[in-house]
Amino acid sequence: MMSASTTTSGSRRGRNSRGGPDVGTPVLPGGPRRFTRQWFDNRALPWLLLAPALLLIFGLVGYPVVRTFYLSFHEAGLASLVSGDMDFIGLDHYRHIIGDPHLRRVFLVTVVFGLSCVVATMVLGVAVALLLNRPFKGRWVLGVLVLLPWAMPRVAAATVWQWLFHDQYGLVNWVLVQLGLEGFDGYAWFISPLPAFFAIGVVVVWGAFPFVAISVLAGLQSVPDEVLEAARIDGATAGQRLRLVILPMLKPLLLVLVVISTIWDFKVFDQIYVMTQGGPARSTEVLAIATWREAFTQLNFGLGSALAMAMFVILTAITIVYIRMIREEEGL
Amino acid sequence: MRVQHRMLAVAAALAVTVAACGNGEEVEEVEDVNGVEDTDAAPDEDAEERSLSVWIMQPGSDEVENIITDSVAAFEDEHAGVSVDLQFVPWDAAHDQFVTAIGGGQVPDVAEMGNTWTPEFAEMGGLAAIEGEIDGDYIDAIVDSGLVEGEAYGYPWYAGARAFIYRQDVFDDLGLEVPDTWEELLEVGEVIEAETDLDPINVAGNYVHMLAPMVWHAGGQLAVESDGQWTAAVDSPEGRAAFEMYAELFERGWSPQGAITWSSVDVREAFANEDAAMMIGGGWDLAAAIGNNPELEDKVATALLPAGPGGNQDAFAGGSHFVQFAESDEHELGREFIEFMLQDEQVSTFADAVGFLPGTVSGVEASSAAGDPLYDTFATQIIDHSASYPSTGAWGAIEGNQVFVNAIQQVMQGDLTVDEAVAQVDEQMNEAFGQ
Repeated sequence: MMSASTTTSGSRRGRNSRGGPDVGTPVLPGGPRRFTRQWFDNRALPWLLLAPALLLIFGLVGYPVVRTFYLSFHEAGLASLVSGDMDFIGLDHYRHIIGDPHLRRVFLVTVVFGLSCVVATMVLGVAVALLLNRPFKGRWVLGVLVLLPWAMPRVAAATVWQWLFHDQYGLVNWVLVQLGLEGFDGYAWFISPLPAFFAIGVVVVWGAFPFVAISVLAGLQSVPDEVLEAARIDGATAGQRLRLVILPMLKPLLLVLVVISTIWDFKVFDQIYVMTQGGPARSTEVLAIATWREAFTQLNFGLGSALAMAMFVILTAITIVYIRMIREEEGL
Repeated sequence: MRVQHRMLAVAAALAVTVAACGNGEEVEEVEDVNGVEDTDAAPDEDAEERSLSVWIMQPGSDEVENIITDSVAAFEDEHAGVSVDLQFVPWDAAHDQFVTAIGGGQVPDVAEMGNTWTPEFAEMGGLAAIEGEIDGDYIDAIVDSGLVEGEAYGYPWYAGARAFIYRQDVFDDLGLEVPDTWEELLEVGEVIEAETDLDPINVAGNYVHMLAPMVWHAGGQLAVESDGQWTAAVDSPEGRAAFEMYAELFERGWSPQGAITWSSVDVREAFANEDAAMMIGGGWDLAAAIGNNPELEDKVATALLPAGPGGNQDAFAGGSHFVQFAESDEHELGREFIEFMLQDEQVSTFADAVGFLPGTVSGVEASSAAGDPLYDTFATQIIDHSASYPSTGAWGAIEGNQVFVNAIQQVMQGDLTVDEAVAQVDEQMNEAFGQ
């Protein structure tokens, strides 16, 4: 971030000063032909070189988004996908989403569950980063161990966790009973939404916090010792140093991590698909699962697309809010 | 300039990431099974190079995969100039992948398909109907499950039916007889509950193939067809009796609370761990349970499903079809391939290895299950006492929407009465039938 903005302002200054010693590409005085050449080099060539990659990205990312947008206004089953004939039905799918109590609940559940996971991931990630930032024996071993969950494929991890949370043969209940919590003998985690979401949340956070921890750790190591030293001399306690010095300095980094976590946690799919498939009785369905169910099991691609567009809009809105916050932060 | 360089790098990195994401979705590519040079079958001069793409469900064991790749290699030996592009598709991803293939017009020539999906994709126009009579003495229920408007779309490959599996040692100790009816099942269960630490029999919220056939046992139907229009029929005295029996088995406390979200795998696991005295399961469940706990082998026995008040004891005939796709260019060659795979010897070797039964009656008789007292029951169950779910394209959506699972789970949770649950099942089924 920092270096990028420095470079930008540097080259801008360079262009204004016309051939000063700090300019990356020396610009020689000359006639219109030289101007054309210079225009080509500075303006057209980069785009030309970028074109293949951009075309690929627009093809792979842009086309599906446009297509999904198009489908969300049509009645599209599998047969009409094949033939290409589909009826335009305007906003019917969006009306259906607003009118359907189950889908309304899905949106609420997605937001509440997603935000809870973001908060838990951030708190755990920062806590682990602070721990790893302290010199102690075995610190590197712990650092590697912390990274492992992140490296594990989500489906494989969720399958293992599903067995850990099994009501009869799961390790989680066994450990809780060994700790004296007799009530967890045969406790069924997945038969009602709240404990089910707790179990799923554990798996989501477990898989997501290492990225936050490692990023924050990198950030912590960039906090100058002098500042902390000064705070300590001024009599700041450890808690005050964290709250008043370290976290404010890391705020831009934390905001970016919150954006990334929000996007991840709002579209969580694998863990729920493996652990509950949205059950029992669709009570643990989140937006990603509902979208998949409508599109791939009900073959109602129109409604599925409308749900996907809704997710797209929500995530875009959240991202814009965060980016505003980051801009304001940098503007200070 | 440096900024632009960075943009370029980011763009390139993104492109790589996007491409990598795409890769993860692809099916496992099998190495060319034609690795060995054909020595005896010298290719005809005028034999053109042709290739046939085939999707088979991933069987999950190297042994079974080898049986399939060997068969495919044998087919290639017999057909000069033909190369088979064989891919294994995981079951979990298969339905999504067929949807994507048909929707995107990139279909294989031949595929194995779960028999409850065949009508769904046939009605969409994705599959090619079988021309003329299909040869062979197939198990009726498996042929029926591939029929749409009188036309057959699936060649039965292998099949399986669930039967009654119980602990012979427990029954002997307590002097119990194998239950033939629901009442006897409850009576036997009461004795086991009183005399042992075992759960008499586990039910599971996510076990349609145990629940739905009980509607047949009670003398009812899941849905009835008239003039090509299906109508749900679970909201009936028979449907209510089936749901009541299932709920009763749960409410007696014979299964843990967690069984509300259990599937057949958990039921099998509990039986394998010697926590339950009886279970409803297939030959593959029994094989897996014995595999996990070899001591069980001498303690278990099998019988036909207990009959319900309707005097019926049919199991759901599950299985796989070979299908051909409408957009394939190799219909004739595809048919030859399917007929090759369905020869008695090929089919019984394969079915034995996966713990299922061949889709043909003669294949069943040639398989090793015939004559093995433990597994013979499953053969009798499927040949004489099995039925298929309504053969309609809507069934895929009903399955995908978990209509039965949602209803029985809500009954088990106490959120719905049986009357409300069967009404909900019918409402959702009729919605899928387009009423």
